[in-house]
Parts: sequence; C-alpha cells; structure tokens
Amino acid sequence: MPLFKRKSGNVSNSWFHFAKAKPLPPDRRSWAGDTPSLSNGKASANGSTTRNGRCNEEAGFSPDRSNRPQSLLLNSELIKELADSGVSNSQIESPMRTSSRLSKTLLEILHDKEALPSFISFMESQNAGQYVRFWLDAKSFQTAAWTRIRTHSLNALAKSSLTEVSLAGSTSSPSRSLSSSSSPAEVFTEAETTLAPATSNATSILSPSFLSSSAMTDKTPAGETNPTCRPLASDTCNRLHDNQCQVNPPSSLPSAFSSTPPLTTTTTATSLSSTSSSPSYSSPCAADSRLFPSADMVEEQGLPGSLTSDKDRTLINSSNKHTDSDKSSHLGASQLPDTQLSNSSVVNDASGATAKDNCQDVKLGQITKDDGKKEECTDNSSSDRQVNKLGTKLLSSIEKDAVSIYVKYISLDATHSIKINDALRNETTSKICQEVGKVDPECFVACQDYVLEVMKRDYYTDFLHSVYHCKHQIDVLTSGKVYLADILHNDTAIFYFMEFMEQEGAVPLFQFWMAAENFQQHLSLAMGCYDGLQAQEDAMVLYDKYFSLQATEPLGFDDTIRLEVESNICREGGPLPDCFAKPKNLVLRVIEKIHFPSFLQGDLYYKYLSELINTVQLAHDLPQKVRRRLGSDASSEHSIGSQSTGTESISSRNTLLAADTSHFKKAFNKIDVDMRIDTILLNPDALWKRNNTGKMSFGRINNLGQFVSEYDPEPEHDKKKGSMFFRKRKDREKEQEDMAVQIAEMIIKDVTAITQGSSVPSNPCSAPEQTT
Amino acid sequence: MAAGPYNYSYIFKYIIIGDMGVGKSCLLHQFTEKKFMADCPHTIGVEFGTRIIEVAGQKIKLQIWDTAGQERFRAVTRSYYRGAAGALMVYDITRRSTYNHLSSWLTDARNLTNPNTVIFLIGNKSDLEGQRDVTYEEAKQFAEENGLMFLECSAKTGENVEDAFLDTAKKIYQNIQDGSLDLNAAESGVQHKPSAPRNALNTDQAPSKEGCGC
Repeated sequence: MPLFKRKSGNVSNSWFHFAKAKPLPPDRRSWAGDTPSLSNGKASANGSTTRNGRCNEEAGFSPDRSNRPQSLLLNSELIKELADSGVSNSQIESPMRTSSRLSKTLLEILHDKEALPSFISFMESQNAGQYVRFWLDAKSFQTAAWTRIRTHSLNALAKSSLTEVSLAGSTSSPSRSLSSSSSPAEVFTEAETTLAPATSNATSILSPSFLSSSAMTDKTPAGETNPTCRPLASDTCNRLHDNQCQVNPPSSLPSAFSSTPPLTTTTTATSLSSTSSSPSYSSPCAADSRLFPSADMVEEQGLPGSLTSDKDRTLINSSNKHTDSDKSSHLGASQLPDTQLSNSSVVNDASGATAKDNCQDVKLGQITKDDGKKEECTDNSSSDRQVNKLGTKLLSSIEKDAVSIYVKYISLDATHSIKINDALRNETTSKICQEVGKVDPECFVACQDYVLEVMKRDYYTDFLHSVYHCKHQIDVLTSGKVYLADILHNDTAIFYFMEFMEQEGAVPLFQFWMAAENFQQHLSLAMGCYDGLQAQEDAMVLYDKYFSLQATEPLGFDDTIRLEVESNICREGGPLPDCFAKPKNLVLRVIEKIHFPSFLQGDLYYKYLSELINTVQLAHDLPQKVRRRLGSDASSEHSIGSQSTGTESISSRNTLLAADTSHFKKAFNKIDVDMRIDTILLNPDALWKRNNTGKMSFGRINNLGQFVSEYDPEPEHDKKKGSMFFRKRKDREKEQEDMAVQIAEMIIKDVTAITQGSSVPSNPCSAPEQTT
Repeated sequence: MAAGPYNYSYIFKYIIIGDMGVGKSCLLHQFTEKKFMADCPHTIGVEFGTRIIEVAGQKIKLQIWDTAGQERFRAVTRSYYRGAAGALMVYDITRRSTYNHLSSWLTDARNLTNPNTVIFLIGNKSDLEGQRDVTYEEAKQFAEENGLMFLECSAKTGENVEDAFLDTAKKIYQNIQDGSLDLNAAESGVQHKPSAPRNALNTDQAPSKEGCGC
C-alpha cells in the first residue's frame, strides 16, 4: 500500500482527491443516522475551507493515510452526483455496453458493413476470397428466393384456398432459417447494428408505394399480355446481370448512385403509357434498392418485415376474395385486384431481388429500357395472362440464380471453387433439381455452414492478428466516437486501460466492475440452468469483498444499494444474472464520466494507437525485408535492428507530443503529425546510406583505381569486398618484396663482378659469400 | 515497492491459469504482498495485481491477471488471454487431477495467446511433501516435452514464487532483446517506456544518437 500512497501524491488530480477526502467526518456521521442534507452542508463548508490555503491541504493529507476512507469518500461523492443524472442516461448507454467494436465474432464481421471490407481484403490476400464471397452470395440468394416465392404464392392465392396452407408453411421457414443462421445474441446484435437503416427503410417504403399507386391509376382494366419470346430474352438478361451483381457484392453503393437517371426515365415512361405491369414491377424495386448502399443489410431487415407484410396481405386477400365471391365478378374484374396485390407485395419487400433489379437497370441503360417498353406496347394485344407470366418469371429467376452460384463456386470445374466434398455437392444438387421442379431456397445452407466453419478454423484467427484487422481497429479508434465498451470488451485495449486505472488509483472500482460483469456473463451463458446455491456463494464472495459492512475493499455504496443487493442475493432459487446490475452500471458510469475521458487524452491511449499504427507500417516494410534476406543474414539483422531503433524513437516522440495535447481535435491532428514524423525520420536513413556509399567509393579510388567500378552498384556488399581487398593487398605486398629482393641480388652481382674482375684466383671465394 | 509509479521501462502482462483450488490467487498475493492468505475466497472471473521487478538493470512492471479456475467461468476468462506476454500455468502437486488437466489448459493458452508467449509451469504447494501426488520428474518431463519452463513453488512458504515470476520476465526480456518478440505489436502484451513527459524528453535524444551511430 505504500505504493498506492505515493501514486495518490503523483496523480495529476491530487487536489481533487484532497477535496474529496475532506468530507470524511460527515459521511461517518451519516452512517450513524445523520440526514443527507446535513452532511451535504458540512461537505460544502469543508470544501470551501480547503481552498483557503496550503496549511489546510497539508492538514487534510493526514486522513489520506488510510486507503479505506479515501476510496469510500471518493465514490460516495461521485455516486451522489451521478444519481441525479437519472435513468435516461443509462438507457442511452445500454445499447453500446455489451460488446466492443474492436473485437467481433466471425458472424459479426460478416454482418458489419465497416468490418467486412477489411475481412474481404484479408481473405483475398490469402487467396481465399471465394469463401467469403460465396457466403455473401448464398445469403443474398436465400433471402431473395424466399421473397420471390412469397410473391408467387400471393398470386396463387387468388386461385385456390389450398394455396394459403402452403403460404403459411413457407412463411414459417424464413423464421427458422433466420434462427439457424445466427444465435439469439447475434440476432440482437444485428438488430442494434441495423437500427438506423431500418428507420430509413420504413421511410423509403412510402415513396415506392406512392409511385406504384400513381402507376396503377393509369392502368386500364383490359387484359395485358407478353409475347412468348419475351420471357426468354428477359431471363437471359437476368442471368447475365445476376453474375455481374455477384462479382461485386460490396460495391452496391456506387451502383445506387449511378442508377438515379433510370429512375426518372422509368417514372416518365410509366406515367405516359398504359403498358403492362412489368415496368411498374421493376421501377419500384429499383427505387427501393437505390436508397440502400448495402444489399445485405437491407435483406436482413427485409425478411422480418416481409413476414409481417405477408400476414397483412393474407388478411386483405381473404377479404377481397370474400367480396369477389359475393359479387360473382367476371374474369376481367378479378384480374385487376391480383395485379395490385402482386405489385404492392413486391414494393414492400426490401429484398435481394431489388438489388438485382437495381443492377439490371444500371447495366441495361436508358436506351435499352426504352426499347423494351416499346416492344411491350406493341404486343399489348396478346391473350396470355400477365399474372401467370410474372409467377413463372419469378420461379425461373430463382433457378437461374441457383445455377449461376452453383456453377461459380460448387461445381467440379468452378472458377471460384470452395472445394466441398462430393457428398455435400450431391446434396446441394438434389435440392436445386427437385422433382417438383422448384429450387429449395435453403439449398445452399449446408454449404454456407461448411464455408463458415472453414473461415473460422483456418482464417479467422489469422485475420485477428493481421494488418487488415489493425487498420479496422485504427479506423474505429480514430473515428471520433470511441465508447467505453470498445475498450472494456477488447482484451488488448483493456491491458492499457487497466494500467491507466492503476495510475489513477481506481483499480478496486474497475476490478469490481470486471467481477460483476464476469458473474453476470457466466450465469447468462448457463441459460438459466445453473446451480442456485453455487451462484449464491459466488455472489456472497463479491458481497463480502465490496458491499459488506466489514468489506475488505469497500467502494462506498450507500445503504440503499447494499440492501437491494442483499435481497437479490437471498432471492429464493438463487440470485439472477442481474444480481449486481445496479451497482455495476453505477460504477460503469463513474468510470465513463471521470476516468474514460482522461484515458482518451492520456499517454497510454496514444501509446496503444501508435503501436497499432506501427504494426501496419512494419507490414508495409515487409517486402523489403524479404529482399534483404536474399542478400545475407548479417545485413538483414542489421537492417531490422535499425528499423527497430527508428520505431522506438517514433514511439518516444509520439508520447512526447501526446503529453502536450489537451483537445481531442488537436489529438486527431497529432495523429497526422505522427505520420509526418515518420516521413521526416526516413530522410536521415537515406542520407546515412548515401554518405556511407560515398565514403566507400572514395576509399577505393585512393588505393586502387582499377576496382572502383565494381563496388558502386551494390552498397550492401561493400563490407565483404573490402575484406577481400585487404587480403589481396597482403599478397601483393609479398610479391613486391620478392621482386625487390631479386633486384637487390642482381645489383649485388654486378657490383661484385666489377670489383673482383682483375683477380682471377679469388673468384671461387666470392661466389659462396653471395649465396650466403 | 519503493519505486515510483513512472519509474519503469516496460510493462509485461501475465495471466495465471489452472484448475480451481491449486493456489493461483495465493501465488499472486504472495508475490505482490509477500504474505500468505490462508482463507482465500474463490475468484469470480478475473482479478488483478501488479508489482515492479528488476531484470538486467531494467525496471519492469508486471500486470498480472489472475483468472478463475472453475469450469463455469472458463468461457468468460478466455477473453483475457489474448495479448499476454507470459502465462503461468499452475497445478497442485497434491492433486493429480489438476496435473492431468494441464493439457487442456495448455491447449487454451496456445490457441488464445501469441506464439511468442512464455509459458511457465508451476507446481504449487511444494510444502506438502507428505501428500505429494505428482513427482517432480514427471512434471519436469511434461514441461520439457512441451517447451515450458518449470518450477515447484509454495505460496504458503514463499519458496520459488519470486523465482517463477522473475524467470518468466527474464525470458520475455530476452525475447525482446533477440527480436523474436515484436515490441511494437499491439498484442504483444508488452508496453515500452510509457513514461511521463520529462522522461520522454530524455529518451527522445538517446535513440537519435543511436541512429547517428548506425
């Protein structure tokens, strides 16, 4: 605890702590039964006294010697202040509290429009992009197929009451498939994620309905027909454009923008003529999809909405049918209500089909569409029933979609094979080619599960450690809206936050929150099938530590909360998961209001950010490392070491700059400054390299001019060649010495010969001397 | 304990894992408070302790996350594994079942932490020699087969507790020096020089000089 005491002295808001320490006596009296107003008054008086001078502050330091009173008082004051903020604040916070955007499960990533691009990039970098793309295509297909089948069923309802039974059957299947695709918790998460788009969805549905109503007003009761060859051409176009849609699922946003002109053209064409309902069928759908950048998100929302819409349509249709039977209406009269039902249903379905229709509009272009309408006007006199054609078209388009997905991902010679085994392929084939002739909307569910398992087993963990995930995390953390939940539910971020809380001397507060959170989570995971007695024992451990009058780490909760916790623990049948919910949320608010803002502007947060950024940058340098490894291990290690030194200095400077910043906007600019620092640091390295190269080159010229050209192109090899040169130098010196010796001998011989030339008898004596 | 709050060069994150009742929380308490806690209540989820040690002349702060050993908390405590630089895996030498479960704990540790995480095997309650149920040689062999460091400790007497934490830190520090542990990765479980502005000024110049030297 001496460590804790010193930290109290060093924390930047030490004055704040002293101020909080002052109300010690009033709180103790409140335990004895004093009224709250009385203690508040005294606290205020003591607060003003503290400001009078240092001597009071020093005197106030004495009560701080005990850890327990300080912790109590700090929280008592904060709790009273925060209690006034009321429940609405808690409600606002609750949607964000249960998960972190920095760490998502695989299914959460696949449903998150922000995280999905990172994941797709990662999968493609691993040459496994087909898995995630298949999963997205299959999901779109399933939703679209159900929508079109419902549309077809609504048409059939006009003919037979028996069809209503099959409609009820088909409406229950979507619910089942939705449940099977994700757990209840994840469904809830998806609902939260798509809350805003759902609102937009509700608004946008009105516009297409209005367009549809206007279009219908212009229609005549006369029967309308299509030529026999028309459906074939249309189906061909559908298939072509479906493929184009599937190739780029994530890029629906540009499509939405570029499709604006066709809307105007379509509306004009519709209002000018009383053509068949096919144009009005596509234009409202196109309008739907234009307002949604993400088809997947729309599909998620469309499915549940469509279910409700289905029930309404069934009721309305029953009523209409009753009316028809009473009036004994003729064929012509009954056809109009069918058309209205059909188009109304299509308009209200925000489904994958609308995404594909949108793509059709984009690809066909303005001219082609005009030509199509003219053809339909010409063939208006045909006697075929429009309703049947529409139904047939819908069913055949489902088949086309299924076949195209199969050919692309599943078949033996698929261009983007997901490599499933024969059993799974046969199962899928049998569902596509059913005896009845209809495609099972869930024909790809088994393959989706397989692909999901493959991605989870082989790629998900690597993704979490990859640069792409780091980039996504950086985007979240620098978006300007970081929530406490993002930090608390991410294990890496919590590492830095815990260090911060310890520096603030608030570890017990945070530790209680973690314990209560874990208590709640593990009981919730048990789904109500836990041992009540055991849960009660767990709860008593927390109570004895934090709430009891003899608590080992009291936090200063008031009697009201303590009594509530006691009753929750002693509940018959054992405590519920939310046993500590109230104190836990209270502590969370204290952390969020007092400590979290400081954390976001502190050293540790920017340390965390800078490390994420460095991870991304190091990956960018990775290709260069590969080249260096080809050279030699020694130089490679040297280079890596050099980079390491650079990044350390980057971290140091980041820390320095972070300390100088007080505003968040400045902090955001500082991140840009960090990037500039990196750029600046790169220059010295370049200069350093040039200098070394120059020196080496100069050295070569001085000693041996003939070797200069060999060394310039490859600076990294200078050291090795230098050592070789040194060896050569030694050899040459030896050679020169030998030559010098030989020359000396020749000179000696000449001189000796001249000197002793006159005396013949002495020659034999001179020769031995020379030899010696 | 005399060191100031900012007087350290590194922060290492540790996790302590193992069956319930093996003495994880007592080990943590013995290491941070230097005394034995006889009647230790079971851990709810995770608890937290810190201490500053010295390795090779460097002040290192250990941020130790003590997890609950009960099976029902396992799904919850797994979320604290990622980003740990060191993992202390504890068993009770007087209960063979706790030793038999080590493979499962090791699998969790390997799957949920970084490849560079240092895993230290601890056989606790070495003071209860008379009730020994797992021999030192057997555990030593298990440790060697799995590439773990190993020591037998006693949270009660304090024997080898200090060494276990210190040896883990030395190994981590060595990995940093070798370069096998990427100091700048956000999930390495290591924080480097999270110093106050004054220290930042001092350390800002040193790296520059080193750069010039290169």
